[in-house]
Amino acid sequence: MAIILVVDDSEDIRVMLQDFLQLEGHTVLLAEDGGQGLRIFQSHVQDIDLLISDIYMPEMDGLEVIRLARAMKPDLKIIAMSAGDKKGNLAFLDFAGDFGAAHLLPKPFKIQDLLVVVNQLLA
Amino acid sequence: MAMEVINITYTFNFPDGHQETFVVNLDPETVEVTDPLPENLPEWTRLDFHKCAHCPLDSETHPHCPLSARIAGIVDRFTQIISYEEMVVEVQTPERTVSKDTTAQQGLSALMGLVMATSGCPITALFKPMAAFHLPFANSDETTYRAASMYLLAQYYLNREVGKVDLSMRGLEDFYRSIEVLNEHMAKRVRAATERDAAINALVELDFFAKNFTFGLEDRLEELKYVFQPYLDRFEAGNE
Repeated sequence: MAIILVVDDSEDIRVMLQDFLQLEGHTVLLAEDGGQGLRIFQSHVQDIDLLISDIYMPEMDGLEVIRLARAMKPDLKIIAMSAGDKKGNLAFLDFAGDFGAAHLLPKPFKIQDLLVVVNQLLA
Repeated sequence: MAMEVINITYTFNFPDGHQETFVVNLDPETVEVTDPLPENLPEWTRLDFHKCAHCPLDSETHPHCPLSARIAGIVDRFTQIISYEEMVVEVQTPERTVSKDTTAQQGLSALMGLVMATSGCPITALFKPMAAFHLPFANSDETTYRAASMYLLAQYYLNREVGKVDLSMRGLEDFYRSIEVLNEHMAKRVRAATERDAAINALVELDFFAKNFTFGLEDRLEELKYVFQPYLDRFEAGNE
């Protein structure tokens, strides 16, 4: 089983994602914004197998987290997620792919779909 | 005895002093919003625009999706708001006033959950008991407890009326699966209507609560079992 870092500014979504991933046997670390996410990533850089990050967040956005985490660990597996809006939030999701996210998940998504992607990336 | 209209007021207090207030008046018998709909509804509220795959309504009789029509005013007033903008949201119900330091996304999620249940949508109508006893800002465990309790009380009434019950909770799981489908379609509608992400993320947040019932429901209920231990102890002691 893997160690997964989840970064999302919504506490409810963070905690529920943690529950779903723990049910699958994974260990889950949580961060409430990009800055905290990056600090946690730095202190567990060797242990974290997968980063799941929201894009649109206060302090530091998900694109920056993905870019910096990827620089520290080039083989890191990354899933980016976002709800999208007319200001280009979904376009940011595409940028996340350019920055190294292996999979882009538009919210809302099915948990089963997330778990399929998680299993594929960790295989 | 005539029952009074259930009046619930949401006030969003922005850091710059600006306020947005939404008053939801519910008919005490039908638990549906009593206020008239605006005359000019936006295009994204038309029934056939991203119509839910399982919607039983016909656009001949219902040109507008009742749920979209009811949330249109909320979406419109939050179209420029960012989801993580912090604010104080105060909710006044007939019984109490609740105030919370929260985000636009969470406050909107609570309000939209209430309005969606009471909008006249035939799918979300099963949430009416929870709306009648509205608990703003309920967390994941509270929502699981409230929804499971609502479902089991519905089984009690069903048993009395038609002699059929579902104690397996399969029906609750199926219901929330249909809510996930609805949320997916609603997200497409709202995405077409908003400039920023507060309203769409409020829907996403509601959708995550739905996922609690469609993925690992048995595990979720098992986590709440400890508070029911006195019932189990009493049964084991032969005092049932």
